[in-house]
Amino acid sequence: MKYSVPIFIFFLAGICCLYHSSCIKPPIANPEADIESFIIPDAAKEAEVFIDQANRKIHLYLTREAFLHGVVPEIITSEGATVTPASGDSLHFGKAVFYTVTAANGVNKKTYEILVSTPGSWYFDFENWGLHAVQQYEFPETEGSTSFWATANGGVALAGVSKNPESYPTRSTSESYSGTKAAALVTLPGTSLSKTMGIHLFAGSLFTGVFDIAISLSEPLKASQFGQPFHDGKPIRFTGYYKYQSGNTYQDENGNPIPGRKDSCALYAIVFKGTERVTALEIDNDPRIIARADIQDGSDRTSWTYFDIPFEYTSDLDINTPFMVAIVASSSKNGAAYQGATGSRLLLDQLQIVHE
Amino acid sequence: MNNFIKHILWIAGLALFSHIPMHAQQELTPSVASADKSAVLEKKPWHLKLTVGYQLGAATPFSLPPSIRKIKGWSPLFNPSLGMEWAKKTSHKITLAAGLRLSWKGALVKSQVQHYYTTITTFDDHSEETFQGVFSGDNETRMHNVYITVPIYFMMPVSGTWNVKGGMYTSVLLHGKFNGSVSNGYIRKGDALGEKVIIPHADFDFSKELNSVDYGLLLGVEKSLRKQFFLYSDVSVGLSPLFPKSFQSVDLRLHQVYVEVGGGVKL
Repeated sequence: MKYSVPIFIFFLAGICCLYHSSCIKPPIANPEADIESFIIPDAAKEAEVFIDQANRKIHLYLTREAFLHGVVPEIITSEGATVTPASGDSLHFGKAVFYTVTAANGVNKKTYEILVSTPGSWYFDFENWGLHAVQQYEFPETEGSTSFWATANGGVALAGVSKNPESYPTRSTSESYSGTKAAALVTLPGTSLSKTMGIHLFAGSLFTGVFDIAISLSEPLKASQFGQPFHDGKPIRFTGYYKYQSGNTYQDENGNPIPGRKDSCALYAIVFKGTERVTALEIDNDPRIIARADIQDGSDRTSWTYFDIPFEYTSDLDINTPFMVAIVASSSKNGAAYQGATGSRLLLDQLQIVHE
Repeated sequence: MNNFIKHILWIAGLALFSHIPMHAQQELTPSVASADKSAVLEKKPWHLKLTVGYQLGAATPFSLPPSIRKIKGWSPLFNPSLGMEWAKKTSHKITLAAGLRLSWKGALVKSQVQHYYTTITTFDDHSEETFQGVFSGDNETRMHNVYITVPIYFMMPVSGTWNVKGGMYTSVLLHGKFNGSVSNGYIRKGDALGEKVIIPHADFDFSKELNSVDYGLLLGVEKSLRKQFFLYSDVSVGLSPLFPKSFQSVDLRLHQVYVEVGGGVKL
């Protein structure tokens, strides 16, 4: 028996070690280098700051006053990281501004560009498109901002689609009404990876606002945030050209075909009060929304079709208080619920918000 | 290993376990008085051993990487082992044994990981997609595999009724289950500088990716009791990884490390 205790301990030691805290190695120095928050005073902004993590750009929507005199941002980075210029340093506009974050590990660096969205005209011909350097999806660029319009392409990139603009539901097309390009929104089938998350379809979407990729899987209906500040006066009409062809087979959110049902597109604009954007959860009935202009009939249009829809106001608009406008388009009306027909295709050109 | 061979082995294993003990007993009962069984066994050129054991362990890397921050829980699950071995004395001291064991190996492990690199590849009839990134958050993995194992070992006495043994084992997977979930975390596409995507909960099932063969070292002790009974404890350390090299969703070389404790009878 004299060997039994040591032998027993020998055998148990192997197993115990595996689960004992002494086997846990010290953590590596934090390799993350995010700007997590970029806080400016409420009085200085016309809309919430948007940090476009996928493109490393920080979009500011400033009052004229703040734009002229600068702001003092408070910056929150990943744990242990440092940022230059530092949090609390004043920020002035008029030339390109970059913030560089160095991770706690001293090696990883990330540079964010500050972009100030300046009030441009609300007329969009979709002639200029940018390309995401890594994921190769397109996004419309406007005069004042690269992020005036948003799409869900960044979310689709997570599903492992091939790196090619045509793999994404929203992109440019040469099939334009005028000029050389128009916006194309196409409903695409989900990928094998997205199906494991219960997503069987990606509707093409395009909207004025921002897309928060961080919550695109956890809270997809909150990831699309609609609206951009409007300065020009009281919006009165939503006009433009569109073309629509619905896909062949309508499917439910589980990918099951629904015979006889036809897909339709969504194309509308809303006016709402405040500086906070509305999400897909709120866009149908939020009390901040005071006007709506909707083409309503989203059925097929085989040739370019002009629309001119007046905003119908449910309450008065004080143009001296901050308000926003969202233009929302989707190749499948129920695309947010992952319902529609793959192959549905909506083309848009010369969209405009006409104001007083 | 194709399914047909697996089925054959499965049936063969069950048949052996259900029939041989009974036959053996029938042969022994009339001829040997129980008090003298040990003495008689010593003189037989070979003898049979039947074992029943319980396995405790997990599939684990030999050294935990820094990405594993905390083991929050471990449950051994129900892992019985039923074995039958043929043992033959090759010299005065050394006994050579080989056999078959039907054994369950598994555990439920809850851990917290940080900057854990993973590649997820999925495919269906139309396409194949890959996602590479780093995950930080909670992980819960449940493994429960059934193996047919062939142990081969030498055994020698060390002191009184104590024997030590050492050898190898090879296991064929009959039924594999390796699944779980990640939660309360986020993944970054590409590397630590990729954009953060919050993952409240996602399930995974890598059962189909498991290697169908596992082999490794077997070390153990055996203590003779009264008559022909004995107790044993084996440590098995898998040398082959749990998943093939081509499989990259689990960025760890997992090895099956188990302690088996049990008892048996020599016939």
